[in-house]
Amino acid sequence: MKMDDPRWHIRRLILRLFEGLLSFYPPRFRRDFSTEIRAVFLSRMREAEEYGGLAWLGAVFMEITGLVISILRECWHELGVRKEKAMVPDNQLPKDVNPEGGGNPTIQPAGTPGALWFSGWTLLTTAAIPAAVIAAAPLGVMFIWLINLGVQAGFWPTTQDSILEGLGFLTSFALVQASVQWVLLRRFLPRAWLWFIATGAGVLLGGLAVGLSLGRTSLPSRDPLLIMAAVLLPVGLALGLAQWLYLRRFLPNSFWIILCDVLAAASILLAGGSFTSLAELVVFLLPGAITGLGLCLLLNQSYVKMPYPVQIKARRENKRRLSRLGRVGLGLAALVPMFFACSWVYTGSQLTLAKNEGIYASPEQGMRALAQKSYAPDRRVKILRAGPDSSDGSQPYVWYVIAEVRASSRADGSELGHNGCDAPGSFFLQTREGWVLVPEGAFPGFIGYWMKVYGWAGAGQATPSTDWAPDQPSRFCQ
Amino acid sequence: MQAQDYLPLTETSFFILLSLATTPKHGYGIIKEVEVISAGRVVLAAGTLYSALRRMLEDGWIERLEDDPSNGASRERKLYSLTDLGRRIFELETKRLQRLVRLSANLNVPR
Repeated sequence: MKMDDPRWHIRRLILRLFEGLLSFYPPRFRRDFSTEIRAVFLSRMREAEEYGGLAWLGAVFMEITGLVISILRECWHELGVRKEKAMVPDNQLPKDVNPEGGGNPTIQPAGTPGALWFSGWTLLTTAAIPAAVIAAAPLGVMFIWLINLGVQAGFWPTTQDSILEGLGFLTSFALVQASVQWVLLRRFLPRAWLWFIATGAGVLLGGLAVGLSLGRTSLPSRDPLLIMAAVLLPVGLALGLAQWLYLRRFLPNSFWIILCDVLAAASILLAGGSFTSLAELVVFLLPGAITGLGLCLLLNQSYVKMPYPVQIKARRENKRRLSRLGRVGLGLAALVPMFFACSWVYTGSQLTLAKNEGIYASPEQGMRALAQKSYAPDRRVKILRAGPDSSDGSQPYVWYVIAEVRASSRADGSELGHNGCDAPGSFFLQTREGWVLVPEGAFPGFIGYWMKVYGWAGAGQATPSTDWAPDQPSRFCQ
Repeated sequence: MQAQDYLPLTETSFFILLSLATTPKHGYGIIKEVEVISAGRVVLAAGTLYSALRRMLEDGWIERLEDDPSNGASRERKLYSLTDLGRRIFELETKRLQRLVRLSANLNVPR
């Protein structure tokens, strides 16, 4: 085939495409095989050319498709290898890596936690307590909202807000604690996402069981220490049992985790019912330290005792990317507080902007102030209607005001609408400081909902202060 | 891992091992051999072949040899040859398939 033959150019173009695609292979694979793959491709092309154009085209298509699939497969494989390398520090690789002759030396024990890990575990699991308290507020509000929806729909009777706030804290604590522990343990345990589920379920179920049983019985004593013990010890036990159910599959002495969790819960009792100095808060480091120490001992001793096939199984299960599910779960769980955070920021910023524009004693006053800014001084403003925007009165602090304005011109010099008259309508929200104007494009209904949730709404008024006059014509500006 | 832990093999893996069972071959040689022994039914693309070879190399089924330059081989041409583990896997898979065929024949399934 010569250079003036168009097929030569096509062939060259396809070879360039093929070589370009080869560069998408992971570096290691590319270094080992790309030269050979290119040589085989060229041989295949030469062979296919002998059978004619269609056969050649079919061969090219098959080779390119095969290459793309192979690239995807190798990239996926490389991701797994990198993850595995990250999990197994070189200095922890045992010397006899290939006891059965044919195996892959990348299959290794995942390593064991050390002093640095223990410190991190203690600090982070302790920090998870205030983090859970912060995250509990929006969760509690969400539960209250959900329960109220059910109450309105007649699904269940009304429930005390304090119970729902407690449920919010419990859920938040379970999620935060499980997430932190999962992050810290995923390097050392196969299918670590199960640890996330075990921890979350242990705290939640234990807390719910304690809450339900305490709610139905009257405690013989009002001693706060006894109440704390009655709450903490069963929760510690439930948590320990849940974690043991997971650990027993991998660690021979895993039952010790139950004792660790109960001791950790009991250690809080050392703090007593009240704190007289800041130093006593150190007690809250104890649960983390106890569970951290327990896990360090369990993981350090148990891995050594585990037979090689169990290690292989553990490593293989890590390779199966199951922790990805945990990551997805964590991501979804993170969406909840993120949603609350976003709504908080949005509502707060919109209200701040609105307050900077002006705070009014009433929506009518706000509308008149708006007309003053927007129309010439000879304006005549008539409020046609000022009242709640919602027909069912669910948001008495979100009002919609309609006015009729007649003037020689608008403030920018333009003419007014039909019959020299405009009929502007605006939303006004009642904050604790007074009424503010919120543009329709800022979703006043949404802001109104969240300002109630976050306690920024004023008392509101369910009945309109200016209602449609009986003689009001059906169309404005007549 | 024991040889039987890798069973059953995929069709591609089986044909690659089958093509290497007699003599070591280079990549293109494997593709041609597989095409011939499968009567043109299995045609491996270069990418598919080398992904499979990479996996087999990592698992220790095959090994990579330098081709002898005196045979006119270029430096990029590598030969692939079965290891003992690879040969054992191939034998076990062949026996497994033979058992299945015998079982099917003994049952006299109407066709």
